[in-house]
Amino acid sequence: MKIVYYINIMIILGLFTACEEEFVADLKNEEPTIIIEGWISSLDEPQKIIVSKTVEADQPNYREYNIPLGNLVDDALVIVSSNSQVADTLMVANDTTYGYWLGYYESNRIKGIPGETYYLTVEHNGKVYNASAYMPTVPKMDSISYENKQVEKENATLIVPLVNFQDPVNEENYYLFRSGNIYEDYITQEVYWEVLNGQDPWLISIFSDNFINGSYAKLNIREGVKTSRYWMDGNFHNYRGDKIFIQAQSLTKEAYNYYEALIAQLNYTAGVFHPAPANPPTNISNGGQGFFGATAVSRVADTIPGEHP
Amino acid sequence: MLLLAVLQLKSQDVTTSLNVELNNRYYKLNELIVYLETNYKIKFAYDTEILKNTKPIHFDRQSITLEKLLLVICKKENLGYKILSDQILLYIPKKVEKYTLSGYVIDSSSGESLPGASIFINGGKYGTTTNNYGFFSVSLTNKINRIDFSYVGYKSAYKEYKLSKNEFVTIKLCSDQTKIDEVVISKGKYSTKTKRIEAGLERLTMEEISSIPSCFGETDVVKGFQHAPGVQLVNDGISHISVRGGTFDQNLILLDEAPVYNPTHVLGFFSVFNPDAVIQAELYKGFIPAEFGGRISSVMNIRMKEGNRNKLSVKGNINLYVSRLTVESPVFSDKTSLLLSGRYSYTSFLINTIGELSGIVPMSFFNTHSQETKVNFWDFNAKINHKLNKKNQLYLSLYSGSDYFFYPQINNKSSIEWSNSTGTFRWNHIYNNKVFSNTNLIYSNYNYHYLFLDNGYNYDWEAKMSNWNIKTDFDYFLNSTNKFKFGFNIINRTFQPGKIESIDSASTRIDYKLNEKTAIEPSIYLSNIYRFRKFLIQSGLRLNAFFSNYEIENNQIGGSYINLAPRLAILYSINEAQSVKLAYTRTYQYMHLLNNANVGLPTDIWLPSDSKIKPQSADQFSIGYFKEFHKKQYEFSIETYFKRMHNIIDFVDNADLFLKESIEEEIRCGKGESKGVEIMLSKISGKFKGDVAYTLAKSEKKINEINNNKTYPFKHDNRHCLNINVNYALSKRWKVMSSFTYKSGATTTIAKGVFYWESVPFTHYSERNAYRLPAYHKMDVGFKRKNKEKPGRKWTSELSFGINNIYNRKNIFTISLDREYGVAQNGKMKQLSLFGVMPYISYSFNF
Repeated sequence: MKIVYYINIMIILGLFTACEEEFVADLKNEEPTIIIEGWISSLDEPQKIIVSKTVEADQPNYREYNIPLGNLVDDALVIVSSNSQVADTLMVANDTTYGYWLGYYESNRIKGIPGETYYLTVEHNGKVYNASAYMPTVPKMDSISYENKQVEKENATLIVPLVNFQDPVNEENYYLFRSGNIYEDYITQEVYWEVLNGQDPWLISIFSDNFINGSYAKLNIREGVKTSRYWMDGNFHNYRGDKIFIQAQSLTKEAYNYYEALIAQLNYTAGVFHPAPANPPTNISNGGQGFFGATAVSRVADTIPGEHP
Repeated sequence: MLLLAVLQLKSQDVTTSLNVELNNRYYKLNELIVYLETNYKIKFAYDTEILKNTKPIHFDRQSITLEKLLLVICKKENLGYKILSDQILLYIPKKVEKYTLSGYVIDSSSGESLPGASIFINGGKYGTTTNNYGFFSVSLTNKINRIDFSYVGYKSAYKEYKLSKNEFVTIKLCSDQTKIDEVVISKGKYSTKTKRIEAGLERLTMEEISSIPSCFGETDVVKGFQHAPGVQLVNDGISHISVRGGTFDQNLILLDEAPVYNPTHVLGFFSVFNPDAVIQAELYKGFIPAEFGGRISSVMNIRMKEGNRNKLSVKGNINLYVSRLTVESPVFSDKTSLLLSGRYSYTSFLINTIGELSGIVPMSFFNTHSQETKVNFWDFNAKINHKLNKKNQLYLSLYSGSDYFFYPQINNKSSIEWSNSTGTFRWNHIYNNKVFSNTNLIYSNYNYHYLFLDNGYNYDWEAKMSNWNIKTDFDYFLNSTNKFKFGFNIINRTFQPGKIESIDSASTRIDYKLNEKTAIEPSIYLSNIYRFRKFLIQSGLRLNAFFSNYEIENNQIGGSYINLAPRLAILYSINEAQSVKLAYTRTYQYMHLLNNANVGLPTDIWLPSDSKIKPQSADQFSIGYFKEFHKKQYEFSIETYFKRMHNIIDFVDNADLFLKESIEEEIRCGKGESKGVEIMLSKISGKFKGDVAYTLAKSEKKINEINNNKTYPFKHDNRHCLNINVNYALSKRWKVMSSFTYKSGATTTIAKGVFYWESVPFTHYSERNAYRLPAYHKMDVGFKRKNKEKPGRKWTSELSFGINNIYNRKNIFTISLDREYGVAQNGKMKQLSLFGVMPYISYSFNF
């Protein structure tokens, strides 16, 4: 009997003392990496480039959106040029009314022209980072059509906008889609085109033209490659009578791969089928991360038919 | 009638050290005799027959001793000489007849044949061994010859033979359990490492393995090899071993000739090999004999027992996690024997009990999530062995085992099931006393399931692979210095790389199946072992071929490959106690394992080579020095190796393996290099036994398009590895054992922080495998106590208890991103350790 007693004690004394703890990597000697987020777009707006440093992993344990101010770099030398345009040194952009720094560098002189190649040089703390980007053309977005969709989970019928356009034949095309709403200010009568820039979920989707190659497409932009939490049509809350627009941006294959890797990271689940997590494929040299791209933009607007509820 | 021609000379005693002066020319035998008789007054007696057909002999030396002169004459003219007091007698020696002695060496009590038993002729320094089935064949003269037989753990025996014809014998050896309280000076010459030709071969009998404390006192074959230098467990908790810097899929694991694809049971405590059913296990780390092919790092060859031919024997063990029972018995007569062996584990019962207790007794180190774990396995071995007659023996071996794993702490959304089955039908045939053949028909199957339980998407993902093969090997014992081995093997493989089926009636049915892939792998080989003076040379050539043919996305993707793999091993015996070994091995592998080593669970996708995935190959060189000393109680070895691997694969960044038809797009290939030094010191006999093994090694690879084409380390690139293992016989009944392992940190990719894109935070990773984890180390202590032995009592038992990981080292099993609600928390990582301090108790019995 005594043996049984001892055996019981042994079972109780810490079998399977598996434990989970925070893992703190020894990274003291490492310098933060420079991230460059830069786009040259064909829209009639100043070009914007954001330079920041990576945030250490010992920040507070909640998801922080927007780069902490301390990680934005404001003392870098940022120069953009192209084959046909003179190089321009970008300056820190400040708010026109109150003068505080908006967090990025801007250029009013560089114009985004499809077919051109742009070159970026960033110098910070003695290190020089270079990148180049080609701006592919984007087909004109013709119109928006609509279809009704039953969504079982919401027990509702939603109206889904589809963007219509001709995908160029004999070309490999990659697209980035966003959507937005058009507002009119009652007083000033100014019209604002506001792109929906949700972060959680991230409201973008990308397409490669593998399935629509050369055909006339009627695309539901929510069916592209995107974060898995973006699929729900309910996220848009578009009502009948709203004025919406759909924006298509052209991407090079490199830029498509970059976005695809970012989306894959957000969709990364249990890890067993995703064995090699890594940073997305950057085109920035010399150890920089991020991406420098050039994109042509086409927008098409419409009012959703029906009465506003 | 002997005609003596005796010359009339003054007689004097002959001194063989007499210096004889010769001219630099050819001498005919009769001229030489006359010259010696005339100038040196040496008398010769001989039959005039010897002068016929003599060849002129040339001496290159002016001055030569008489003894040497006589040796030269006799050798060249095939004569013998004898010194009588004042004369030298020259004669034609009688032709020595040679006969073959062949047979089996077996265990006297169970009738089990002993593979690799040593055989020495006339106390010679070099011997031979029985083959894998206990069969041997030696060539003896018709004089009296003394043959010594020995095997580790058995009393050596010798027999004297004066053969007048070929003979077939059965040698019975008695096991040597009792002599633990004396220092045993091994008079028997075991086949120690110093004497074995194969560089880098580790051979363990179950006796030896049971002296190594293992998890829960359970002896384990794969864990036993871990204590050898150059062999490491890739991750705590999984029996994936890395041999000399190779990856897990590069090890060929054979159970009675049938390949086993996953040798681990859940949590890696136990391998699938039931120790009571195994008689011997060998691990070839360096030189791989030509009879093996298909993997480039190592061959683990495990042989099951045949079953006791003489009497019923039952053996069992009960411990806290698993119980096993083995029954061996003759069937009807001693011509047939049967072995049945099974194991069942109830691990989760205990984990859940603790989980429930944690609700009652609030103690911080309890795992409060462990109420729902389901971690179980079972395995079953059966073997029937029938001796048709003296020249023919039939065997049938079967193995089947299955595992179930649901451990919420690691992953609460999926569970895994896997199972292995193998079957071998074998026929041994002795053609004549010099040729032994073994023909096998083998089947092997491995499959595994993932069950995903994810918000209405409940589905079952399955992958499997299986093969049939037919294989024949011939052993040809030509003579005492020459042995040949040759044969062929044809394998038919089938791979099912992924199939998914929804298992509940959710509206979205996603039944999808990747195409099955098939391949044929024929091979043929020839090898030879040749003894020449102090050298033992084993050379072999293997011709491998591989043909695969299947469709991927409507493209015919197949590959045809034919490769030649030479093997060479040279053993040079400096003297009886020291040797030097050199080896060169080239190997090819036509199957690749895509394995997520981050977690170490069997997410195994096996793929065959095809036109896009080329076969892997490796060249390994090794050289080592081996020494036995202090009356053979100690053995020391130092060995260094260099291995170059070609066409090894790795995943691209952000690879996605889920049901990918063209999975080749997610992998790239390149080369790898691994080198190291292994040092080992063992005390192999006496009350106190033990070994210390140290390995210094480096393994790195360079893969196309990965890590910017720069070299990066393998995950298992542990620079230093130290294993200390001791056991001491306190008395006839008590034994204490301890082992300590230290391994420098493995490499991994970690999250370094966060970067932003469009104001969305993303994880920022280091370069691949750029970070070194903390070192792994742990210490185990255990005791064994035998029950009192009473004469005439058949029942023996042993109680084994101890503690694994006595200082509660939390070795990291895996690190992963810290996620809440599926969202990464700012690049923070968490580490999971599977085992803290763990006491164990187990009870074995035998009757």
